[in-house]
Amino acid sequence: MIPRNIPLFNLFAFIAALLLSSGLLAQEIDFSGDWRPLYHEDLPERSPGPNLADYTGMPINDAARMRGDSYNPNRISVVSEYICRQHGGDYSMRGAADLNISRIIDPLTQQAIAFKTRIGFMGMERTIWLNNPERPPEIAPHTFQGFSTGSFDGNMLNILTTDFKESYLRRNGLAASSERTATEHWVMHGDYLTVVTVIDDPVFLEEPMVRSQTWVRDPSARQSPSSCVPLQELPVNALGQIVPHFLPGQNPWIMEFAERYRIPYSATRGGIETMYPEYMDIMEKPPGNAEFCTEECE
Amino acid sequence: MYYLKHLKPFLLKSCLFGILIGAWANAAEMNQALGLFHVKGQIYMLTGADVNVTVQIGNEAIVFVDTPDPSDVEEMMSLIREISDKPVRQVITTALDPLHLAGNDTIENLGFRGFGGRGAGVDIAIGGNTTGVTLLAHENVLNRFYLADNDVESLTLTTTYFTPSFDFYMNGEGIAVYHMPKAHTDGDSIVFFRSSDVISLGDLLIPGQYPDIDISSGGTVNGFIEALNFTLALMIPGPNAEGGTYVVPGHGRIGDEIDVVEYRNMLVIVRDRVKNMIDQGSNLNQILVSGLTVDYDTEYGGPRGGPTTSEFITAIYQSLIEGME
Repeated sequence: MIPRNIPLFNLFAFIAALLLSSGLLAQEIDFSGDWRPLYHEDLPERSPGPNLADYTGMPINDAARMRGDSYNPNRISVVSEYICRQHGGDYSMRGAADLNISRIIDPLTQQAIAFKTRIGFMGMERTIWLNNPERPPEIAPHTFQGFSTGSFDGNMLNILTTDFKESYLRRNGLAASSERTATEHWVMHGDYLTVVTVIDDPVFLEEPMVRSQTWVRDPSARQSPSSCVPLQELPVNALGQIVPHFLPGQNPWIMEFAERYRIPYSATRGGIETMYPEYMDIMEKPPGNAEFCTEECE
Repeated sequence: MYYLKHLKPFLLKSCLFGILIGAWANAAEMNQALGLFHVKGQIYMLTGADVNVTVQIGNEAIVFVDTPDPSDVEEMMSLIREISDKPVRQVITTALDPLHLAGNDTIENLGFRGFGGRGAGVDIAIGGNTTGVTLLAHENVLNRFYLADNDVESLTLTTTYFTPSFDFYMNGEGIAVYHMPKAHTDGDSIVFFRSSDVISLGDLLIPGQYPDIDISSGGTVNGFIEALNFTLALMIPGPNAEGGTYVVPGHGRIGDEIDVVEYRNMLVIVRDRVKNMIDQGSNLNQILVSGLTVDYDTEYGGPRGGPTTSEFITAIYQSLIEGME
């Protein structure tokens, strides 16, 4: 028995060694390179920025809605600590900046142990660990980019990020808590990279929020060094508030988005009941007065 | 029946044994939860205790900001002794709060006992230490301990300061102690380790909990905001608003400038809302039911410990009303 099996065993061993040494067994995709963002998704939000009080299509709860309603955009000029603030790691992919991805190789095993990303806005750098490290202890400081670990499922890289700092879901005052987590799915099709982000925030969301972004490879893309200095843009108290905000019921811009785009005000308030097709059956009619509609009216 | 008759006490004993083993295991687990987390420079934080203890470990001595429960002191010192064999020289108490000073006496007893000593039955040894361990707090901590109702059973201090700040040099770095006169209480101190670039804030920052404005101990909402603004003025963030100066809160995770900013912002915004309703003639009950903090309750209120939403709003209301009088 044994002598007859030895050649077969040796054959399997040889094939396995060949596959291991050539890395053919690994499913890791190398995302390394320079990428430019494509804006066919959510351009108004991502480039010029969202309208105030536009929460359309977002599964926010009452806390997030009230936080957004009280947001005065002067805050980012008066509160100087915000001047050089990065995006959160779950929002950074939506920005208008190039992305560089590099792969970190363990010199001993020649296996990838991490991807490092750098996005050309505020020098946002992030490490996505592939070697399953321990997550930071509860008392460790949180960071804007959070702590990311990734694993491959076929050709897709799944990433879990925790330990975020408080940040924003949208740049109109919709807050994102430090308790949120983000799950990302990276898929590459030729020279296109699609990133689907699922944010779970027990503080501000009624259900997970899903967004996607697409990138195209551009070997010529280069980034600048980050050189932000947090200078005061407005004198503190110039507006009578050291933290500009609107008192409840006193936000003068609360109807602006609904009126400008002739959308029912209730639909702009977000929440899971407004996100799905069934909402069309109960949605209020848009305002009849067309004079309010100044953009995208048809 | 025989078996049942004998089985019952056996089961009872087994259960009791199991409970004892479980309790022992839990106690062991709780003890194992203590740890020393390196913050930055010479600064460490004791984790797993009832309170965050800031520990400066250098080539001269050990300095503490606040102390843990006496039952945790031995294990804490074991952890420290893995890093340093230097003597304990300084303990700074951030406020008259039993959680923050419970281990003062135990830690003082770690010091030199070669001469002198405190008088029998005297809880407080003012006028210099006799053990080589200086235990410092603002004078108002001592005053409140003697003169006002409080839940602190005993207080061990060796000296107090009454000036706006107090500083000394230890382990090759300047240590500045600043009095925050009307924040959590009227005797709060924050401690700035200048070379390490770490500030120990006591209960002026507790991530995920509303601020504890202890009106009965001299705390005020505006004083709390001023204390956080003062802290922000000391802090310098690292590149892109991250890192740089770190803060050790009284409880919960370590933070940097943006964490203090978000906490300050919340307090300012809620203060302004309460003040606006007071200005419009609302009484406390009307304010409490108005839903003023719906947007912050999911982050700071609820079952997270610390003041409830009602307690937080009531403290702000009382503080503002007293300020108007």
